[in-house]
Amino acid sequence: MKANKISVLFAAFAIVTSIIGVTYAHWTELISITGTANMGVQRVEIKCYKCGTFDCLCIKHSTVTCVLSEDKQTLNVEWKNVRPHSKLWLILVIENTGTIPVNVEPPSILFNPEEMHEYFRVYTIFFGPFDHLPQIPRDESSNPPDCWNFCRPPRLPVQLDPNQKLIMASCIKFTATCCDFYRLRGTTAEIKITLNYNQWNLS
Amino acid sequence: MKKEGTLTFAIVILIVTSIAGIAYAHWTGQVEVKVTAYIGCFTIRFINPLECSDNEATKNIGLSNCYYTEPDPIEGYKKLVIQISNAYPDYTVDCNFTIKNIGTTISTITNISIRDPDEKLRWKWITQYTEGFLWQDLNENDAYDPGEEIIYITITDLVNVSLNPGQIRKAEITTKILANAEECHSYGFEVSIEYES
Repeated sequence: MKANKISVLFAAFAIVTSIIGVTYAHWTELISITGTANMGVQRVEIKCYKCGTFDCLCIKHSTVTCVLSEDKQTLNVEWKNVRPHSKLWLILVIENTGTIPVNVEPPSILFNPEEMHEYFRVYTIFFGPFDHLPQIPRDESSNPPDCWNFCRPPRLPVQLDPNQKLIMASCIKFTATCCDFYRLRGTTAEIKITLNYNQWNLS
Repeated sequence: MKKEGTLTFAIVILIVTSIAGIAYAHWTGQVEVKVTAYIGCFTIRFINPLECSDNEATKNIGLSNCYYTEPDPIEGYKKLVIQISNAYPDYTVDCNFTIKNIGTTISTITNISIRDPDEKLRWKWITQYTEGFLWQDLNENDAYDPGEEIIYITITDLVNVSLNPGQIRKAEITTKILANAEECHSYGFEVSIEYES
């Protein structure tokens, strides 16, 4: 009776061991690769600006008001009493405040009323990019190397690295004839100048 | 009739075995049963060399880093970590790693699965086990639509690869940030390489 019990126990032990062995042999283990990607920021802002008008015969007819949008992407210009050959000058300092280089293209300029765009001609040039804004020499002895960049406008688009600055100068000229002028007299031109840029390595 | 024959045969074997056992017990004075169950060890681990590089030729904008963690007491590591920062669309990180069977039996890689631990992104294979992308359900229609791809991943085809004890295998994982990835966001992924003996 005792031998029988031992045999049964032994057989049970053998079976259990086999099952455990088979189970273990089919265990699946794993190794893993974990990755995190923190995205950078692509952003260019208008840091400061200057607006001015230049009228024919140096008599000041037109007035201009410039307001920067909250997101610092658009300059809203209101130009009143425009006369033929009046000119508007805009100087903007643009800075890459993001963490990724960008290519700055000419800004998009929208007129309101829209049909007025045919009476304006826009010229835009860029100076830079600058790590620090250039100091214009006050005397002949100074010879800042930045001046060379300042004097030679870069080719478009301008690549702007993080923290670099760019000066954008735009001249908007009112080219309407006298007939058009009398038809448009009293109309206020609203101009929206919005920055235009994209990631430097993407076309 | 057949059943009776089988039963008789079984009884005969039982009796013969019992007699033999008893005889052996009487002869030696004791019965000793010694069982040694040796279970083979199968383990794949990451080992050095490990190399990471990116696709930036002239500028150093995006930053990448990769390293092993969770060391195994025998050899190697259980986890490979890839960290990418200041990423932007088209930024690509290439990671060359090495795996080794540090066990004593043949191990076979059976599956590779990729997921986002935060469950913000979902995975879709382009080519099973080697190429696919993590996508975000931007329009919340619970289905993948073109334009929802965020991170494109390729990995060396390791499924069904068997490693003998001590065998080493080099592999590569490439991570590319796609145009739909949003700036200032953080994305995560986990690649599980499953194996068995």
